[in-house]
Amino acid sequence: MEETITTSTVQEEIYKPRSAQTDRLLRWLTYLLTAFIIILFLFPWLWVFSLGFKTRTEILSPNIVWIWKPTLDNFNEVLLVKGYWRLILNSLLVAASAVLLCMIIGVPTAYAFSRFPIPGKESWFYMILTFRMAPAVVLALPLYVLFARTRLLGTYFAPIIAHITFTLPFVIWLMRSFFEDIPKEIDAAAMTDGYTRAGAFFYAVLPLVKSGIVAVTLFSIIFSWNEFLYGLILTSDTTRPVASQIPSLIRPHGTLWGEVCALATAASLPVAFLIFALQRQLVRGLSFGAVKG
Amino acid sequence: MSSKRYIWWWVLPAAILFLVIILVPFVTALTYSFRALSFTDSTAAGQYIGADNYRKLVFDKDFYNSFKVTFLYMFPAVIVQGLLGLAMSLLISGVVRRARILIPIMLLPTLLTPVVIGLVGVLTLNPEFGVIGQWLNRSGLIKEAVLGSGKWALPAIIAVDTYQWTPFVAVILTSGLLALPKEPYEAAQVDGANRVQTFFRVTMPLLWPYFVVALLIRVIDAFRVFDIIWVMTRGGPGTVTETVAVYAYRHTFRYWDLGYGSALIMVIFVFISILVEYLYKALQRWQGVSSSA
Repeated sequence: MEETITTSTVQEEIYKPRSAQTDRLLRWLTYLLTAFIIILFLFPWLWVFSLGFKTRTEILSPNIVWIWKPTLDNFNEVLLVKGYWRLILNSLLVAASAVLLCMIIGVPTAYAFSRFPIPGKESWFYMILTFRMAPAVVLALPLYVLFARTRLLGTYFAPIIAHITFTLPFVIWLMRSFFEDIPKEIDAAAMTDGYTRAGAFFYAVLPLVKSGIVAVTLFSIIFSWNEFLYGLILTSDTTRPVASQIPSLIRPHGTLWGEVCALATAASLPVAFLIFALQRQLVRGLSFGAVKG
Repeated sequence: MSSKRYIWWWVLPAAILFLVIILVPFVTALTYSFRALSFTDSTAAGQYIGADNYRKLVFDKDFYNSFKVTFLYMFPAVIVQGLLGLAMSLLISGVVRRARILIPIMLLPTLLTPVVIGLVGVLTLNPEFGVIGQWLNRSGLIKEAVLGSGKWALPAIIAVDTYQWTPFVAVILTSGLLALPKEPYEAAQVDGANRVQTFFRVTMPLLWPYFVVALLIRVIDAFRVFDIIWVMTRGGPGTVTETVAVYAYRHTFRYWDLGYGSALIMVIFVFISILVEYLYKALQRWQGVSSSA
């Protein structure tokens, strides 16, 4: 079945025209498949998020409760009474500071990499990529020591710096691929018009990669928001981002699942929103700018 | 001002940042790997001990176990995700143009906070009230708690990982399928190839670079994995799900053995650089980055 759909849809014009009946069948298969994929990928999330709106008895009931009266008690308890709304602000503060700094520093660097003959350019990229791809614990230990020595452990500074270590390579890598899509003649034309190199970058090239900048910013925010290990070990209880706190709420016994799910829902919604905002650039950002388009 | 020196102003801030927050801490850790340094053992106060940490590592059974677990997790996960991702991309490549909404929905598992997807795993697999765990239990397929079982914990993590990453592979392959040139298909049709032949002789070779990059990214990420395992099993029961990253975390941030932990992360780093070199070459061939350098 897979075979039929693919070759026929990818190469529609080439194969012999199909009968109207086959066409209708294919269309229905398409709808069915779409529905199936949506259910498959949405259901587990919706189920977990639904627990945040249930009471403890409803959650732990041996027969799964499918219809119930939604309650906001868990949200109220975990966010307001226990004050975890602060952790969401922490996530926001860390992500915003790290990403802003990385964009300001990373975008000109990416431009330089796309335009100038920097010696050893590819070796630098290779090294940056290696650090970006290593397990987080590889840099977590050196960073922990660095912050312990400088007495920055537990401050907002520590997770922000730590997040820069993976955000900056991402920004440089992806922005370079956006800049390389812009013809060099644009810079040349701007400079003939009397702009300096910096002026050409600022007034001629930058406006052309505006959508790229937006995409890279949003992606960086998602990755920073999702980060777990640095947020756990480099912070204190008051400066910890929300993602790093969620696992410690899961205990061997007596976990308040409703509250955990409520917090997880609150922490996931902004990211889900960003994913839909990023639709066009999802593929490019995810594969590290590897896939053109 | 000569244009050569002018270039450096563009990359200087990023270079300094890279040096201060990545390279210097990393080299510090490299020197620690030749020292006895532990927060829990007062006799290990930083004295130079040569290659003793590395020697200890060579004879550490748990170290080999962590590599074994990582590969036991990586190979099935990457193979299954590669095949499922291919099947899925073949199915959806025809739908995608009509149903753009599918891509962000499919990518929810890949991009939403990993800690929360671990939570989805924990809750759906819970034997008492989880949607899947309850069913496994009642149908008699798996009588024990999945995540507490030496036999099923790793397969369960692989399953969650597959749920998370198959869409990523599928989306990369789909973008490849949609970008395939038409001419080879026309040639195949002229030669009278049937659909199966066309698939294996035309589609697969053309899609191969996309496949290689997607799988390499997955292999590297399987090596990085930490968040999900930490939320679901913390490496347990025993060391059944203790991957390299979890093992390194245990020795550094649980036992606070910084000397031994540093040696560990150096070994991991060497491993990753080999993997990244392959990825980088694959990316360059694909993107033609080398030609613009």
